[in-house]
Amino acid sequence: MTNVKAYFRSHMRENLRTLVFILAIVLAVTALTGFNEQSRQYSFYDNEHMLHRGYDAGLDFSVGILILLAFVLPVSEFAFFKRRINLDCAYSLPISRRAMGTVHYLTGLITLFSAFTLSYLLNFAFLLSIGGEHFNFMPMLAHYFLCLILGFAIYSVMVFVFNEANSVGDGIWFMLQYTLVFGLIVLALALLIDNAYILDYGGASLPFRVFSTLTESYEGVIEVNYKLSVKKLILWWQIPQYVFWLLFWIGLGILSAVGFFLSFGKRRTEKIGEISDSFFGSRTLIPVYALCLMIIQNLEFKHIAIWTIIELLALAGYTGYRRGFHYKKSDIAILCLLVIFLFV
Amino acid sequence: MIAIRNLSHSLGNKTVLRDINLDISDNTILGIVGINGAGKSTLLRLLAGVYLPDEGAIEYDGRSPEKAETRQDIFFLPDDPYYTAFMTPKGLFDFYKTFHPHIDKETYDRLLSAYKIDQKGKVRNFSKGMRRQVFIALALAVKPEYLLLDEAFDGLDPLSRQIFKDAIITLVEEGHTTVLIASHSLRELEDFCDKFILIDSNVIKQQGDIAEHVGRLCKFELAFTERVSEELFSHLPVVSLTVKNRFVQIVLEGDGDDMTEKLEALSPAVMDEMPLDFEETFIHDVRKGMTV
Repeated sequence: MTNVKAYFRSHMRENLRTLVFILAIVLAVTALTGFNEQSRQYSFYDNEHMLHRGYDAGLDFSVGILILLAFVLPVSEFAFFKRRINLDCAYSLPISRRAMGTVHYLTGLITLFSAFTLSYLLNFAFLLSIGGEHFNFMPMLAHYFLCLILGFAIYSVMVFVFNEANSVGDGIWFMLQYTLVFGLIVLALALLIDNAYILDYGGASLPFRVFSTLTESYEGVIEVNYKLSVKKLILWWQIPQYVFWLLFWIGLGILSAVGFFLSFGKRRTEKIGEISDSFFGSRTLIPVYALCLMIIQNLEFKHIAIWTIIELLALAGYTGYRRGFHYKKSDIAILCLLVIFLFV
Repeated sequence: MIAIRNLSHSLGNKTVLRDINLDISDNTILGIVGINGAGKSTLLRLLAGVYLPDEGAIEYDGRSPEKAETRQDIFFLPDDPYYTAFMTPKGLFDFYKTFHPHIDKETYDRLLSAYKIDQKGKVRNFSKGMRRQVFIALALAVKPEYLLLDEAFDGLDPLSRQIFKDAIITLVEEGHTTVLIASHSLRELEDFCDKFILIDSNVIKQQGDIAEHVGRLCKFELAFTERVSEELFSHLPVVSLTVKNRFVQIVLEGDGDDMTEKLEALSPAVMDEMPLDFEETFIHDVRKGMTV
């Protein structure tokens, strides 16, 4: 345990430079873009056609930082473990791999929360300076904590996904694929069972969308003069697909965090730098993408040319994944199955 | 003591080590030799806990290197030591101090000063040799119970090599450390290793005392008055033979005096026994593909 604490202190100390750099960027960009009363001002007419002046709460900038860092920090924290040259020294240290992974996970989370909190606090201070009468500050607290939970979730998913890869490139590719895949699955499912209600769920799946709609609805109650006020917030919580994806990402985040702690360090060191062979990676995602796209196009377009394009895309996916034309039997089998699926 | 039992390991589809069994006594300096790709580095990585064995077990006084506590007593210096981008030698010392509180600052500073390393320079900007010097200084300052060195002398100038060797000998003489060194530089190993193992074709082909092993072979240069053929030596235990007209270079397996007697019986005009070092013995052994 002493070694874990020592490693944590040492890693935090080493990352202090990164943290300070990120916080300085947040500070500079917030100051340059957000601290301008004029730019925050907007006008609107009420029901009696009276012109009113309102102020934008400007939460989206802080949320943007949170989303961006939830994708960037898993890479910056764990890229170290994707270079074999680092691992000879790192894995021979007297600290368990799981403990080492936990330290990196927590360091990323601390950086994420610090940057978001700083940005949020700066914005809060600015809103106070504009005038308390323009804003309801209590809902900001709820929004802040909801964003923290969602940020933790997205970060944890991306940490898990990135660590399923054997190289930095594959890890980033997995992260991008996971961002889109759930919406695509729901879309394909909705079309397959011909359910327009489920169809609406597909478009709302992206983490960015969950964050932006949530933030927009909260701004409705934070900005005193906002047109839709509290109704918009209530409305957001009444839209099942928004709530579904919020809960989905939070649930997936918790599962990913558990999965990460259970699996980190179990991967064979000698495979680092090689083609990633995890079932959570491209070997599963390529067929899932191809299948979903085929289902979607079949029901929408019914055109063989599009099937061919999708098949070629899958082939390109495998070519990229295998770094050339070194396909495995399983890849060929899946491509053949996709062709069979065309005729079924 | 380090005990290796039925150790096998593969990299991808290629078996690198097969059924390795070995006991390494405390306070020994063991040289690990073998051709490129023989599995020396893999063995060291398994010993350091960097790789986890496919089969078999490694134990340090009954403790597995997979346990973090065991690695407290191990220092592994890989072929290309590297740590995070922004580390300086000073930062590395502080980092290793967190795991080895008794690390000797005086030794570290003295060695870095001897190697003329700037403690505030970025490790990533150092050459491979300089990085190795920093980690050598760290290893010697940690004074670990088990020191694992991969291609330890690679990229070191003669003076640095001598400083390093002297420090290792001091460590072992003080009774602190068991040293395992994998190296291609067999002449370096011969100077100060007690024992050696030769890894070839995934297994330990030979092991034992270096001096005894080198003494097992003897090398002669002979000149005859007439042209001779290889058949002349067919009754002898030949390891290697080069015949050029009247001149012969021969390496024989056996006691030097016995072999001198047998060669004298062939009536050479001139005969000299030449010194044979560990590297030459290694080359002959690998070429012959011999087993013990």
